[in-house]
Amino acid sequence: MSGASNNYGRWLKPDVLARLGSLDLIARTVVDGVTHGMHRSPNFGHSQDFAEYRAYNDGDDLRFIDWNVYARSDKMFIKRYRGETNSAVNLLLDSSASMGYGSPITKLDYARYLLASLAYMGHRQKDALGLITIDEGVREQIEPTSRTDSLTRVLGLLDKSDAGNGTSLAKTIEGLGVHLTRRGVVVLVSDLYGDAVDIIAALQTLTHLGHEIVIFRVLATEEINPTVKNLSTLVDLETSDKVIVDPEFIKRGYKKAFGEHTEALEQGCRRLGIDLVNVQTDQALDDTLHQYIQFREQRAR
Amino acid sequence: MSVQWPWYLLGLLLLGLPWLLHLFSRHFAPERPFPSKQFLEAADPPKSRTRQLQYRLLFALRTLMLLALCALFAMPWFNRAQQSQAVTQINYLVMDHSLSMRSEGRWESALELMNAHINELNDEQLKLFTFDGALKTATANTIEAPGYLSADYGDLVRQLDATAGNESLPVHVTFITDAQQTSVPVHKNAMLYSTIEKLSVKRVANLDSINFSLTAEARSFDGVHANIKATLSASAFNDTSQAFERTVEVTQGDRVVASRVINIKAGENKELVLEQIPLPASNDLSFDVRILESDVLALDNQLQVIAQGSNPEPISIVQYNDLASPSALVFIETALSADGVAEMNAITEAGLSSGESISHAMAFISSDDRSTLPASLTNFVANGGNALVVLVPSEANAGNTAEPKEDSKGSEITFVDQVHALALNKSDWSSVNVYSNHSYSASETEQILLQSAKGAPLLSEEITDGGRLFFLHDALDGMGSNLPHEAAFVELLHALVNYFSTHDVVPNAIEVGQTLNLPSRMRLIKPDGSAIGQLTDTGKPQLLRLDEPGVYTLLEQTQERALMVNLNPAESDIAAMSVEATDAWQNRALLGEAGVSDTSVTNINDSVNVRQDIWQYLLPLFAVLLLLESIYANRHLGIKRDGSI
Repeated sequence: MSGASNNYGRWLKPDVLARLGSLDLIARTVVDGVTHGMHRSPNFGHSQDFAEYRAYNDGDDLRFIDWNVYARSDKMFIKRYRGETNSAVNLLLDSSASMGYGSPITKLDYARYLLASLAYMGHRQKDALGLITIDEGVREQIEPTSRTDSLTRVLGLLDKSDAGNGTSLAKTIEGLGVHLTRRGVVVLVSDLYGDAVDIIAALQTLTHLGHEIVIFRVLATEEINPTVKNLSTLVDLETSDKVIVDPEFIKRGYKKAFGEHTEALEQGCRRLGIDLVNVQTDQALDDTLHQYIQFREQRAR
Repeated sequence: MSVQWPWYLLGLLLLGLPWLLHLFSRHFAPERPFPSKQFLEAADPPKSRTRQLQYRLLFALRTLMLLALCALFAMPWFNRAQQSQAVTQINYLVMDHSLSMRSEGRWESALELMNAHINELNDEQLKLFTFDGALKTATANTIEAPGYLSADYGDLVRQLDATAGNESLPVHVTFITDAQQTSVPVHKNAMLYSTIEKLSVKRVANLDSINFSLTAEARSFDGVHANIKATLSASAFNDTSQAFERTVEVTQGDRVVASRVINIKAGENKELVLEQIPLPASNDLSFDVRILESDVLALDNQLQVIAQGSNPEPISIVQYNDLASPSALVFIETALSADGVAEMNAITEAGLSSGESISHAMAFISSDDRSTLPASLTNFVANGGNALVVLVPSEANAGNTAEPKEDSKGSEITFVDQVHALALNKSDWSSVNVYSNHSYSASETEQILLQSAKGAPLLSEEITDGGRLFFLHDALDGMGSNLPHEAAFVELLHALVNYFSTHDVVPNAIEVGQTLNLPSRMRLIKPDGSAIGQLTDTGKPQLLRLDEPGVYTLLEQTQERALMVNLNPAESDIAAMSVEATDAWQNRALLGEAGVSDTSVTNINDSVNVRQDIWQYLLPLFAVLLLLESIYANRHLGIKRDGSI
């Protein structure tokens, strides 16, 4: 997902977008540039898009029997359609201290811009927008609603979100089942620090609740390929613990552990049918959205 | 050790800099935020022991570099002489062993000083020497009393410098002496020393002492009587104007044959002639001449003289052409006839060629080209004859002599051969002026004995296999020089005749310490009757140094004659160097001596305290340290060429 598309020529750099100041303006700028980004509802409803046939069971609404098929085959089938509107979109923002890392914009800023853009898109297709900010637990929450001011409320909360304390992502996600009362799409933007097994296990509880989960894993380039020249003391932003590291370890051991963590996350997400999108903070925001939507459409077909 | 710019030593405060650097570098692990420590692994705890060892080496290198740098700027130096003193040295103790040290009480005082000096040095290295013209090693327990020889301080310094030059350590010399003024060399710079590091002069003398000495000679003109010419000299350690009455007595055997009383002051030389003393009937023609009154040095108060024969030496005069000045003959005849020294007769060139009985000749040649001597003359000399050739300079030949030159200033005699047997240094040449400016180039076998300030030779000697051949480069007409008018001319001619008459260079009298060139056919008998030298058939003369005074006997195959070995009159002069001059000698400057202030003194003095700079050692040391530091830092700190790690 990080590769650039050849037929899309307007890349909006995050640091340039940051100058716009207003999250609403940023979201409009990003989304308007993306042609068709409508996500599909996980619920089957009364849209015009055919989904499948199912054999008629007692109790089914007779209005949904496809009589044309019954006339030709003398068997009754229920015709089902993909529903498109009024889906619940729960946006999850990891506002832990580690998200305050990165340059020229922090991972948290990038996440806010990304979620604002997604919220804008959901608002245009009249989805019910909700937002939950988390760190060591749930900090703030906006219940999903289809009210016209839902976008404004979401953007307002995003605007005032800042990097907080430490994180316990797996435990927090595991407890989100109580807060996500309405089944729908869950979009999590986080750096996914924590034990990969625990995180996957926590995500599994959400998938069991029938949520479709999309994860944008936001990372800074500096944490993927750190440059440490001398013996340095690295201070954990979440725990304030200090670790003296050897440059030689950064070159080899760190990358290996980081890669193993990434691999575990991707494997777990694939197994759970979760879309995991790795994003770097220096990546153009509209490019990120455009490629993800294309990916979703291809998978839907 | 001293430093030229001590303020730069404040730079030593920078020594704290590498300490701080190393302190910081040990704990330098800059803090920086990081999202999570999840993937970090703490580095192994610093291996403090290893790192400290590594850094200590680097720290030492950098500290030494700073030290060397500060020292370079401060320009340290040390005085080599002072440093040498601090380490160790060799002490020379030199005892003056000349005749004058036999004066009353001087040697005893010298021995006391010697013992005190030895005790003062304790265990330091000491070498004991005596000096009586030659430097000889001695031991304190067996050192002998001084002999009869004389000392020259120039010779002393030269020999000390040569001996000290062989030492590996600095040499300090202590010279115990009576500091005789007459021992100071003519060229006072000869007393300046260069190899020995320090000279201390310890004087021994009786401040109120006074000494009288006597020299005498006896000559008979008629074979019946003798005239004895005695010279009485007085000298005092310090200046005094007091007059002393002294009695000179001449005895033969136990009989007093003459006596004279004379008043004399210190510093005076008085000559008296005792005439018409009857010669004894026996073959013993010796007389004892003495001063009756005693003084501090008794050895020079009496001597024995032998009445010399009165027969004048026959001198043949040859005139090769008519151009020679007639006045020259007059001057020469007048000079040689004085005191009956010589008897002249004129001969022709043919007579010189065939003359069997001619042994000495004076030839007049109107040419200044000595290379074209007449064959008769060269044959005469080759056959053993002695000749003085008066070369008339070319300008005199050209008739320029018509203009008298006495009015012109002329040039003085500035070069006098000091060592020639003619004893030219005993004559006063200061009043002799040479007006001639003619150029003359001496041959390789010719030795210049007298020369003017403008380089014109006055007297030279040709070295031959036969007899003696001298050249007098003057027309003797009073125009080319004023030589014929001066007393030195008479003394020169007398010396020449005496030199000729001694046959084979053995004179009638020499001084103690002089070397005698004794022909192989002769033998020498000491005053005590023992023989010196042996008759040999080799034909080579024997070189004998006679160290004791007295009347020696020269034996030939058919005859014998007396050889008087006299004390050096200079040793009888006990006048001492001034205290200022002695101090100056110790400081090498000799400033107390009149007329000695030349640049060579100053230069030598400057070279004594040689400043030894250390920067030439520090600079390569600093370069080596810098190289080592660079290599070490590059290898162990992992610094790349571009400065990155």
